[in-house]
Amino acid sequence: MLAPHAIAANADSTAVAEHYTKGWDPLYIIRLNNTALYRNAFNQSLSQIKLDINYNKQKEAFILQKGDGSFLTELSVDSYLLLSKNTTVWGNASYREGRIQHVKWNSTADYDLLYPYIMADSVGGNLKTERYQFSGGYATLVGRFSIGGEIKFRAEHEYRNIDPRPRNIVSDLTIRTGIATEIKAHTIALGLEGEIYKQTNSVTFYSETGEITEYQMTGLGTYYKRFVGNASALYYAGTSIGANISWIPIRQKGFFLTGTVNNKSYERKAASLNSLPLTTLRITNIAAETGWLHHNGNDWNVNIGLKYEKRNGEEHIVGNSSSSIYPIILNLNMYDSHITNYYVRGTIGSSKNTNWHISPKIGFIDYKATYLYPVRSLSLSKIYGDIELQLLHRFGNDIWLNWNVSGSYYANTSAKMTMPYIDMDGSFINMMDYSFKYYKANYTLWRTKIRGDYHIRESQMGLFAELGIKGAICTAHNNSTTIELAAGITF
Amino acid sequence: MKKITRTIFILLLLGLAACNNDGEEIFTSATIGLEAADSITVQKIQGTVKVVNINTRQTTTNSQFDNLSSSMKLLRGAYQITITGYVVYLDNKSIQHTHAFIAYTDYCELKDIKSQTKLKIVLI
Amino acid sequence: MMKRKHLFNAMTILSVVICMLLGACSDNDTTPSVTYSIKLEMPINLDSPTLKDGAATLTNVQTGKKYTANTFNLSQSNYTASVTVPEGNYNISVTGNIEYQLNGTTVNNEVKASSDGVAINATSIAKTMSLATYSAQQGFVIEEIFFTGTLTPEGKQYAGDQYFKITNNSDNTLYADGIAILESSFMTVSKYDYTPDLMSQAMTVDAIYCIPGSGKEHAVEAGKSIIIALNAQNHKEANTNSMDLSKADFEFYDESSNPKYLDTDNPNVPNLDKWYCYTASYFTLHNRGFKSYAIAKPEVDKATFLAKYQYTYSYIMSLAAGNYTMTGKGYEMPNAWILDAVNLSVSAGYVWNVTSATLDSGWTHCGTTTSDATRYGKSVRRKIAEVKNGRNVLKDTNNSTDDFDAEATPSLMK
Repeated sequence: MLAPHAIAANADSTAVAEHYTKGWDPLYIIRLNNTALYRNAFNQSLSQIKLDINYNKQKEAFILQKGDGSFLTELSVDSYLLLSKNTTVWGNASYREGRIQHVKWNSTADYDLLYPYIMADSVGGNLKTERYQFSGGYATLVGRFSIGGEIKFRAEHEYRNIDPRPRNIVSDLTIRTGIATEIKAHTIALGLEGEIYKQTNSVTFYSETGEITEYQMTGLGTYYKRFVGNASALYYAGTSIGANISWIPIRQKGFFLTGTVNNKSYERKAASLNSLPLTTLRITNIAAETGWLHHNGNDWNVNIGLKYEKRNGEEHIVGNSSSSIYPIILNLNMYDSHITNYYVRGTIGSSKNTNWHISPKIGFIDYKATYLYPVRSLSLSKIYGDIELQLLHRFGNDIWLNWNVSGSYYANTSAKMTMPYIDMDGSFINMMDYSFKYYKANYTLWRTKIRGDYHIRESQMGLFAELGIKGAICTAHNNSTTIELAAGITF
Repeated sequence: MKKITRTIFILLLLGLAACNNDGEEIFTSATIGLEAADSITVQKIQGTVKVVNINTRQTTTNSQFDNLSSSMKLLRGAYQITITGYVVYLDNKSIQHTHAFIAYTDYCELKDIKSQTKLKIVLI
Repeated sequence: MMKRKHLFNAMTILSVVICMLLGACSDNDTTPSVTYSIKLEMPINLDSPTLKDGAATLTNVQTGKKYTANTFNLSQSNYTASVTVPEGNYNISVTGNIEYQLNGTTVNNEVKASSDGVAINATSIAKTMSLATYSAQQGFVIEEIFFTGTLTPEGKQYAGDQYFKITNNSDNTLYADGIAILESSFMTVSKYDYTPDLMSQAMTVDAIYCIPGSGKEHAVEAGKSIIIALNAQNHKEANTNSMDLSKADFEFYDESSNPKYLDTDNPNVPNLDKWYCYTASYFTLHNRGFKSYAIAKPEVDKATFLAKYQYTYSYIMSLAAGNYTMTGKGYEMPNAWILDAVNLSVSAGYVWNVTSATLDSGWTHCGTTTSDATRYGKSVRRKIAEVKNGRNVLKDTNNSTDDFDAEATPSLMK
């Protein structure tokens, strides 16, 4: 795969087929994660401008902190250019804006990243959101080594114009590098990644009669009692560092292995208390996958993998606060959670005339979270099955239709929650019981998406349109529907 | 090569699967003692120690006294301590009195694995 | 070659299955039971106390299930009962009646004790609980402070209707002449290391208003109260959510130096004698409840007090820009002259009490956050300990946390 490759400028529209049909291929994901390997992810250049509209509605929120619906519009430009036989550049720029409906118990942006150390109140509301993203990457062959680098930047702004009024501004910079070389029949690649993250998170109230309580959450419904209502202006500062290693067959036939490790650390500081760091969240992510693949037109692969995440929460205990100094006298690791996802997956299909692939997957998820004192815990496990079909068909010379359909079922095999109910406020009991109801339900998910590409004759350009529908139902009598419409041009 | 990779992979999975139970020591064995003025000799203390954790606002009480001190297992941290009760003592003329007392501090660090503090008895 | 491949695949798949089974760290569902003892200590300040009846209720913090122990047996001057409960954390509350001798009479007294978050497991020892009784302070106490103000029907703040209710908690008629109403200089939500630190001997105050009279002009019978309003008017005329304070016994009145903010004066309600207040306009109580209040009987006259009892204190304020030495002036009211003190705060902001623990070792509140929208129209009211000879005896253990009902409906709200 490091051998010099053909440079095609989308002369016959097969670039689209190449760029958007690789979801079933584990090697495609591996290449996406390493900048040196991404140099030859594709044989043809392709750029695309896309306008995307995404609408989601849930009967009631599956996750209170993420709301029960959203309406988002995004304009993006993506480009993958083979500059020469040895050098590739790629880039992306996008602007997304919209609103998220009825977010409760969460006044902080990037909930999935920063939970449980977020600011929250029981009132919540709708949020307006804006996001800018830019990224640029470059990879080239130097002797026997492919070397790549990428910079990604995300800025996000979330706010509400009625009380309580959060205003959250995120800036997130990631730098990735990679190096790869061939050894016998395999390519070995190493990658390193570093991230600097900042978020300012503040909630203000314009009402003269006072405030709604903002809580600094510390896990499983607990909160930092001493500074309740006193620390409604926070900032988060964090860094992360990660590494990945991959071993993939050059001729797409044989054994492969990939592993990623990532360590993140985020400090939550109270701006109104002389920048007192209230808590530090440490996250470790490990992912590994290995298997056997045989992609030569008649394609099959079988692989096993695991994804693991551990979160550790440390509370900073504050001493005597005379003179408005807040000295930290002690650090206590009060919160701990881990989630492990083990799976076996395979694919069978054909990349010849009619391009089709079926990928079944079964797996097991295990989750446990604990808060040490007073004791609280939540644990659950699920077994799941998933099947996905991807079909690509060409009509004449100029039209491609790419269709994906998938269905999954998640069955709960165990669920337990321990809470000191007697010592909890009613609103917190309701919040935890509501969340647990959805944690332990069984889920059926389905998704279908169709994309049509039309290549304009005698030109480099094409038009495309996409329609996607996603749905979820669960045994807690809730459902979700997402409709996604997109259109754009390729060149 | 394959054998080694496979072994590493299996070990990785087994290692992660093990139930992670290590809890770092978050508690302290606190000994809260009382000290009396030189002019009185304490014979018996009866009372209740009430400690309020300054950060978690949790209240813990204990009425078990061993001579002039009370032992409690608490979350490490900083506390406001109030001890109220009755003290039986001999004054400097060896006459026995029973008197209500209070001992109080609005800030006391009990942050080591074994910690202690002494509070002055104030007769009220 | 093929066989080894298959073997490799089988081994790895098998290890995944094993990991899945190991990974499901399931908790042990059966909780062992423990026989736990509760030991009640009789008060050592009482003569021959005996426990007539007692009940200990243990509430499991996680399940909410209650377990009771009723049978207390005497052993070495303590009473012990046992109960079998599943291991866990419990809130224990004890109620009972004790009998003791006082001057030849047998006296009955209701007793209570409680302890939260008690961990009960196989290695737990018995829980000792001390049944303390109290003797009600003989004199005037602050029965109620209404400081939050009210909201108008339009949702705006209305602050004119604050008041104090002071009650004669003794068995005899007492005279309210000369009682001073005090507001603390310091706030319970911000602490500085003040030099000099006088708190163990005196309360630092920045407002002193005295009930007028020569000594025997304002009689208050046993169990009766007087109302001291910030503005003795019928506030229902301006705000239908408020109350009628036009029949108050006394009123705060200040000669304001600011023509935009003038105090109102009800000519039918006697004004308090203002000794000192920090304000240049008119006095109001801190409506978020960050200041503490007390009543005192100064033993010197106004002129002597204002001349001799003022002091200057200093403290260091640390800001990002540096450390600044600040000074302030306050009046020191000796603890020995203070009849009753109540610390007020909110749990989100509470840092310290601004009176000596001997005056008040607890605090009470309306609202929980520093600017709580739900605090309006509520007051702090002293609990009734018992009814004796037809009058309410108010609870006064010098601990406002235990003695007061927080966030109560104001007694004058009708």
